[in-house]
Amino acid sequence: MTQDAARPDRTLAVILSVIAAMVVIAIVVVFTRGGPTDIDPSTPEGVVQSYSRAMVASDFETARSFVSAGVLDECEEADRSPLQGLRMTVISTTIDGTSAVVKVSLEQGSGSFGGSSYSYDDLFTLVEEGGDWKVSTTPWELTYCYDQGFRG
Amino acid sequence: MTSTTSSPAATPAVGGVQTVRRFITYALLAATVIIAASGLSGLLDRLFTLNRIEVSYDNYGLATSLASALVAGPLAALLWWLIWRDGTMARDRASILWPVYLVIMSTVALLVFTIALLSWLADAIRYGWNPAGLAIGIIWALVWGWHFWMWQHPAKGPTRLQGAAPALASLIGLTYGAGGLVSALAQLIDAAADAGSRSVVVSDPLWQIVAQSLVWAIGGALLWRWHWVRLGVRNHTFGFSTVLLVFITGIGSLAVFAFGLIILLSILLELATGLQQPIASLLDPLGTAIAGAAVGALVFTYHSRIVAERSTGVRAATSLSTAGVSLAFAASGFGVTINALLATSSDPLLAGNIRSLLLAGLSALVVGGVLWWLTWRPREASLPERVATPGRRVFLVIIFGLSALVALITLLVIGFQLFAFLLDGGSGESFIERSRQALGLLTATALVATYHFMIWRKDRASDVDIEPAHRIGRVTLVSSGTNTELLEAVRAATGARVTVLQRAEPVTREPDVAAVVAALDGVEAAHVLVVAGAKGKVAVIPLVS
Repeated sequence: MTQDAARPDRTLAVILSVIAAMVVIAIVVVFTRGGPTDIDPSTPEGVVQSYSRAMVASDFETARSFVSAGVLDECEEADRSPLQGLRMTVISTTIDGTSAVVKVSLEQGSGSFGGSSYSYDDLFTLVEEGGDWKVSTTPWELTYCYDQGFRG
Repeated sequence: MTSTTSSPAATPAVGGVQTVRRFITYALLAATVIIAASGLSGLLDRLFTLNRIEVSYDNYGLATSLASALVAGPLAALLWWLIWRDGTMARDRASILWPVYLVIMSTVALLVFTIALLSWLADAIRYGWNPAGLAIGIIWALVWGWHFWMWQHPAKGPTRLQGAAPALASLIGLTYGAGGLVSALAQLIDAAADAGSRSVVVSDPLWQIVAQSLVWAIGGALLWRWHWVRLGVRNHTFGFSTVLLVFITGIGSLAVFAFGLIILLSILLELATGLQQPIASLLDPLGTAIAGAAVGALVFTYHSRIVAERSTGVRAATSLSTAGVSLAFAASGFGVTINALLATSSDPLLAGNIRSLLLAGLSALVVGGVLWWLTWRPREASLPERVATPGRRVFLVIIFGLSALVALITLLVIGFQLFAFLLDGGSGESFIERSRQALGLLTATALVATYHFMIWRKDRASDVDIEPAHRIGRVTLVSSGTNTELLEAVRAATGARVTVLQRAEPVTREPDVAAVVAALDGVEAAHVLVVAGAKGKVAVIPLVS
């Protein structure tokens, strides 16, 4: 009986320790970790990263330099809206000769409580122009030109 | 034996074809009343705005209003006359369909008329006097008043579902009142924060926005007070009113309070750990958070005092609900914390705002955890008097049910992402990236279920009689008055459904509560007739069903 009486208390102590440990680890890891690693800009992922960073920072001149000439020829520039808390992770990259497809997972979090965010998978397509990879189509949030999303 | 069959109140309504007849007539009455009211309000609206509309080609709109009012109106009157006749009402008064019709129609009418009138008043503050829109409020207020009069009618008002319509109306009033107050306070706090951060603000004058919210706050408060105090919903012990009291205290107000506090804490934590986003967007929910916490606390404190005066069952249900709501917040917070931790395992192209996610999760964990600790009191969770709390088993079963549901959904999501990852041929980190929300929630649910499973096992092992054994299914009690104390005592002692039949002529020296409860001790039957007789005599008659 005494053993029985101690059981929920012991379970509670174990659970509380697990929670405390997770909280401490999460705080340490999240706060000590630096920003995302810079990827070599000669690879398709590297171009996607540099282009997306420029779009998020509203540096449209830099972003433009990563867009393919074919798209820029008929470009009607899209309306710009600030992008906050956009997270993007590479799922896979497929290179087929002079074209490449980078599949990404996007997560758009709102500023307040963490539950109200949404995530989805989308694609970047790139073409090789003069030895460099250039962005052809992008997820809708990161389009430089209006018609960019419909090409490819 | 004093018979009560002469009173129409106690005569059970005849079923069969009569039920179908009642259903059809009440449904038709509801439809015709709604159509007639919309037609009349359309016509009245035209009357009010007669000299304001300069050019109008809306003949079809006028034709619709005329048809609705002149066709549905007389039909509604005819149907009502058929229903309200003494002969019909004597048969229908005890039917459940009569109060159901009244509850639905009075609640619909109340919602339409209060929303129309309060928005009209709020608009009048902003745009000045404009009679358009007022007509709907007036016509539906009359519909509501008419149904309220029928409800209260001494000879024809319903004998069942007493207290349901006023209880719902008081909840509507409380929602408007609390919502209006939160909105007014939030506007003031946000304005102060804007002034402090020197933001450029483009909006209407502050007094106007606050006054608009105050219209809802005051209107709601009046509506609530009239039902709560004047009509006595505060003291009702009907099932419906009691459930509502437990919901407002243990779930609604506590959730608003905790949510406000969580957002406030997450804003403070972000300010303390360095900004990741612009200050204006960080402070955006500040006003609503503070106002929500304050008003939630106010509503909770007020209703807790009323709960404290109620029966053990009501008190236990409220305290278990508060523990459940707090636990839900704490578990979600832990889930979000795990989610943020897992986010660091992958190397993204863009980092997003993982720090804000973590701080929001920690805030929910801290606020929910502290509230849970205070309401559940885990150190005393297995004391015999706690194990004997009525409804504790129901609470544990609900926790297991919800845990199973969350586990099922999260496992489905994780399974889907696992197969998608295998078929996509993506990297391992993309699997964790895509299923980290589900993994976080699953971990939190597993911890919650484990803890409560241990509590369950401990309860089973203890020799405390957890729930009173139900030896009696139904009790029909014949007494001189509707003695709520006696009713509650019989209900508490037997756990049975109790119906009271009131004597037409009161008897002297009826037995006291203890005598009636003692007479029921050891009786075992599906249905028991208890007659509280003269000179303290109690007759207990077990029936077949």
